[in-house]
Amino acid sequence: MVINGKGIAVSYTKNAGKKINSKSYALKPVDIKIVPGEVSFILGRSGSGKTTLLSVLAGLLKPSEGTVLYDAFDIYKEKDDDFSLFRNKNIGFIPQGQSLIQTLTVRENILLQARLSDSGSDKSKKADELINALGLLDRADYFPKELSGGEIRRCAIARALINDPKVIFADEPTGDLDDDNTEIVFDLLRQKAKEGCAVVIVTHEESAIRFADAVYRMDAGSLKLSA
Amino acid sequence: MNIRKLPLKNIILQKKRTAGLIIILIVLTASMFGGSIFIRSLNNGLDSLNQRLGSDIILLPKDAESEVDLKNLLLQGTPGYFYMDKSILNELENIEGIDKISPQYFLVSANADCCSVKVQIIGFDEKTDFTIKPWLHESYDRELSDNEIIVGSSLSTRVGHKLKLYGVEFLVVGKLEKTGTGLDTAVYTTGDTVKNLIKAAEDKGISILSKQNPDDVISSVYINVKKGYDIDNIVSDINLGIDGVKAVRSKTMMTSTADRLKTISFLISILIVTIWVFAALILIAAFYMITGERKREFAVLRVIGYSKKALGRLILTESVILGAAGSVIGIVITGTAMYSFNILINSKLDLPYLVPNAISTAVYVLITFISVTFLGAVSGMISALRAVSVDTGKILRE
Repeated sequence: MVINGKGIAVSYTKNAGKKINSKSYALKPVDIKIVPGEVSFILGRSGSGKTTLLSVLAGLLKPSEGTVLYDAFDIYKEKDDDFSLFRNKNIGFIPQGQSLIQTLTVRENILLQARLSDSGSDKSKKADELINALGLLDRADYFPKELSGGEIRRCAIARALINDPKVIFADEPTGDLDDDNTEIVFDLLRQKAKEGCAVVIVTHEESAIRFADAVYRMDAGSLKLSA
Repeated sequence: MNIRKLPLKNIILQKKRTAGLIIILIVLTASMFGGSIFIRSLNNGLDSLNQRLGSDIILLPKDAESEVDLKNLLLQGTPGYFYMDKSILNELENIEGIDKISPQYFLVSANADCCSVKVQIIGFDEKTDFTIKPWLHESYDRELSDNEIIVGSSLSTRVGHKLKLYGVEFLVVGKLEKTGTGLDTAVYTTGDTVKNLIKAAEDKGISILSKQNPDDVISSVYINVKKGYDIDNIVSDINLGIDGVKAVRSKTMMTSTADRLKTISFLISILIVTIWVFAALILIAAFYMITGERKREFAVLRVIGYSKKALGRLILTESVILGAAGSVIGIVITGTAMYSFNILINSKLDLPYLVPNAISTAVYVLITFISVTFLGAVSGMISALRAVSVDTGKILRE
């Protein structure tokens, strides 16, 4: 699945005074193309607009300008019900920070995305594989409040992968992880790309570039392809 | 993991949040259900009393205390007795417009083996009575023989048991339904039996009548007026034409009680509405604030594929379950308290108080349940609208 962002921008009106309203950009108009089988990195400092771009591409933040196409599918023109179902089946999104449902165990959190559009296929085995791969075997029945930051992050990664998505968006996926786990996560995402998945990772870790097929840099809302 | 269980899990596992909301819902339920049952009980009691009085006019001896005694008997169950000359019955025949008259005889037992307190004995005339027999027949449909009595619902004796009054043994042949009035603690028998009891008491040295013969006295007379005649005019005719008696219109006697009851009902209604408005606002605000606190959780649900509709449904389901649970708990607590302390409330009120029957109570339960659950749903809907109106991406950036 090819993702085409054309002229996408996120702006807001700044109230500078009684009469003067100036337009300010969180994301300046950009074109971006994400292709299957590639890991694309978006690097940049905090506040540069990386997460905004990721949210727009994932259909979570409507851009002020431009379009986002998944092949020929214009996600912001679709009905919410239809696109939500599409997102559930095709997009794995790993948000920044704590993103687990507090009332569900690790296993239940992972399975939640699968069960939402349950087509009868049992994803329990797949969940067990991911739990094992991400080192959460002894934490499978724990609730989020009983987990460390790294474990929460790994659980969110497993949840994003449970439906074998065609696109993965990861916002600082290794922020809370040690070197070993960082390696495991990037290997896993690299492996998903090899299987034909389009992977977009937002990070500020320059050292992770070695896992990338394409590297973009964000600076003050502007995007540049650097490699 | 079943996705449908998520609302229930959110409710069960977020204990503090759930407890806070349930407490507000219980207050709402208690004010509505408890208040309604209380007002209905007061109205039931007054209706029941008016039905039991069953006459247009009551005739009493013309001393200042007889009316107070009768009111105390009816409202608080305080036993009392007073007498006047039986010849008054003949004089009443000369008053135009009177349809029915029936005398009654009051006596207070010194002690009875059923009870730790004095018992009111009310005797009626089997031939002329039209006020007691209609509802006495609910529990006993034959004529009372000598030494047979029917007891009020609050006396701790049963049909078939024997009861001694002034040393005379009586057979309990019927027990009346609860009326919520002082009449629940009375014993009913024939006028002749009361006269015999007065004699028995005097044989034991207990002086009840100073000089008169028990056969020559009555305590009160119940009068019904012929159709087309003005009750107030007949009351005036009796008071002006017959010495030593005081005719009181039955309704007038209960006017002050009805007025008190109206005031109490009005104040309670205002209280219910006030509590409801405040508690409802607090509930809506609480749901709204909780939605604010949970916005990241909702954003995550959107990320994994919850549509706006599905998210709204989740929030609405949670609020409906909470509303239903809160109202059920509130109804059980309030109902248990009100029905358990029914006797205590009754005795402290000095007002007729008759709790609604099972069907009426079920109606109140249903109305309260629907109202509180509906309010929970409305609060949830407001929260759901808030939750789905924000861009998920904006919340994730925060």
